[in-house]
Amino acid sequence: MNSVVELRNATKIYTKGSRDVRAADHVSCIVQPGELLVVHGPSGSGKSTLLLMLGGMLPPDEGSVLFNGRDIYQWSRARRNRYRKESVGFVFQRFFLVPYLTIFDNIRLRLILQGRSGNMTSTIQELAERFRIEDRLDHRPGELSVGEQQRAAVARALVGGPVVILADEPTGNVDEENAQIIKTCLLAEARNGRTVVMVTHNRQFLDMSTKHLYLMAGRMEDPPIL
Amino acid sequence: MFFRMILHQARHKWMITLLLWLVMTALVSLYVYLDNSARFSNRSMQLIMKNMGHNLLILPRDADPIDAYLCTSEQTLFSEEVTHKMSQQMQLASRYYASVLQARELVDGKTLFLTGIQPVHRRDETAEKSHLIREIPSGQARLGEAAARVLGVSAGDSISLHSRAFSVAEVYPTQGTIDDYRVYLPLADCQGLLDKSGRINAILSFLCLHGTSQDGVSRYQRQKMEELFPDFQIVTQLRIAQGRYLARMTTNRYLFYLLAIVFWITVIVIAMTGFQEVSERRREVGILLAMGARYPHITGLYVVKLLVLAIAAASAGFLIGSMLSRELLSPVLTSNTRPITFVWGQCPKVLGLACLAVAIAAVLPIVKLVRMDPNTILTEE
Repeated sequence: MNSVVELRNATKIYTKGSRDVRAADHVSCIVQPGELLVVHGPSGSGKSTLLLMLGGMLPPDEGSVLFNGRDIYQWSRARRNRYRKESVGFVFQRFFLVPYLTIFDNIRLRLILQGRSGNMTSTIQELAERFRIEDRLDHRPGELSVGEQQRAAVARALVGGPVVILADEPTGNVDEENAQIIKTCLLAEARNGRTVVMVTHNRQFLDMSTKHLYLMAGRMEDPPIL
Repeated sequence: MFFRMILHQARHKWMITLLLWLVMTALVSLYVYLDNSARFSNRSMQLIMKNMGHNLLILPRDADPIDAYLCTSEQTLFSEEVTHKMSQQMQLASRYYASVLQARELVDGKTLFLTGIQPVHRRDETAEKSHLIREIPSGQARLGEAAARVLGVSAGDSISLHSRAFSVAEVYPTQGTIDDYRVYLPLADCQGLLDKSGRINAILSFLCLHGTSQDGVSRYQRQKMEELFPDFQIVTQLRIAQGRYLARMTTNRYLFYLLAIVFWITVIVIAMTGFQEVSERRREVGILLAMGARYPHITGLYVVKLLVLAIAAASAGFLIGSMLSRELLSPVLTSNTRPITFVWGQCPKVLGLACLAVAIAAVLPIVKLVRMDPNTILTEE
């Protein structure tokens, strides 16, 4: 089976003062359609850096990042924007919902950026029902609970049918009930053939992942035995 | 959706939106007020300066100006029709003329100057200016201060000139010039007294100084006179022309230096709120980039909002500034000008001014916005 996204010896070095910090050190991995890759490791081990590299936001200093076999950092900036717009759905620990737009418009924004027009209400309504925020669509993010905000952020990432879902600690700030809803949805997306790459400390995700990657100081290592 | 985002963003940060609108409105209002002040003050000063007299003397080319200055019997005579022909020429910068016939007259051993005068104005000259040299009704005279003293008369008395009686309508205050010795009469009456019907010695002209430099206008007038009336010469009363020009320049500069200070204060306020806004919107920028939005789209949200505010501020500022100048300026002006009202020609300028302030002020915040690292924003805890 062909890979959807792939890291080949990806290395990213940040310079902090006179010190070089290796956020990714020759990381290689292949993720195929329908796989749920869980990236875990201690804080500062380079998990978020890896997600950003996969999302076309951060070019590696060495190695390459491939999407459907093509190096995305060989593409023009415009092509990489299109890749993010059409093929990638990002979920962040801090939601990053646009504070002055309603939840409906926050979700619709992604479709608009994809260049879609016409009536999107039924698509958004359907997605909102999956995440149990259908009665919150005309509210602004500040009027929602933390769990509802994160569910809305996940709904926004999924709308428009991205091929790859990149989630950075999506359940890090939410309670058990909300975490369960998010977990169920992301798992369903993977089962439907989407590729999900998730950074998490949540053991439940580790247990249900099809593949996992343990990072320590930017290097791939075997996870410690708990 | 783009405009919806701008509208919602403006409503979300309504205090900042209001501040930006107010500061731009204040700038435009001040501009309109200052522009009107300069326009109508200059108009007022122009009328005051015009009372000092003509700034051009038009004589036949072969006439010696010294004869006109000294009012000798050698003065060249020409037809008063010339003044009417000049007043019909819209290409000349002057809009206002006076035909003059003058002659020395010995009264009780003192020399006086009989001066027949008739104002002639161009058809587009406004009523306010046509009163600078007022038409003298037949049978009346106006006297310079020295002439009245020599004749021993005051306003309301009668004088006899060449056996004809004239009532003294007015005695002018002393000017300290030869004009103090003038006896002003209606041109036709003077021509009758001197037996020079239809003839004059000189044309006084008031050169319009609007539009360009003093030299530029003088050069233009000279060139046009040579084209249209080659048989006539111009003598410029430079100190009067300069007085009018310098008064106008001083007002303009004073007011517009003030405007420049306010302009830069406005730019700084917009730029500072812009920096604050960009900082507050960093998460939004991060997620928009992660969703594939391009920088022109993101900066467009900021710039278009400012431009819409600039248009709103230009409209409000134009109305406020015009009303302020109408209410505050009218009582200040010491000579009556045309009524102060809305000057619609200012509209493109005020729009340009507000947009220019926005364009300059937005540069640095946009640079900051473009240079923000979305990765840092998206991964911050």
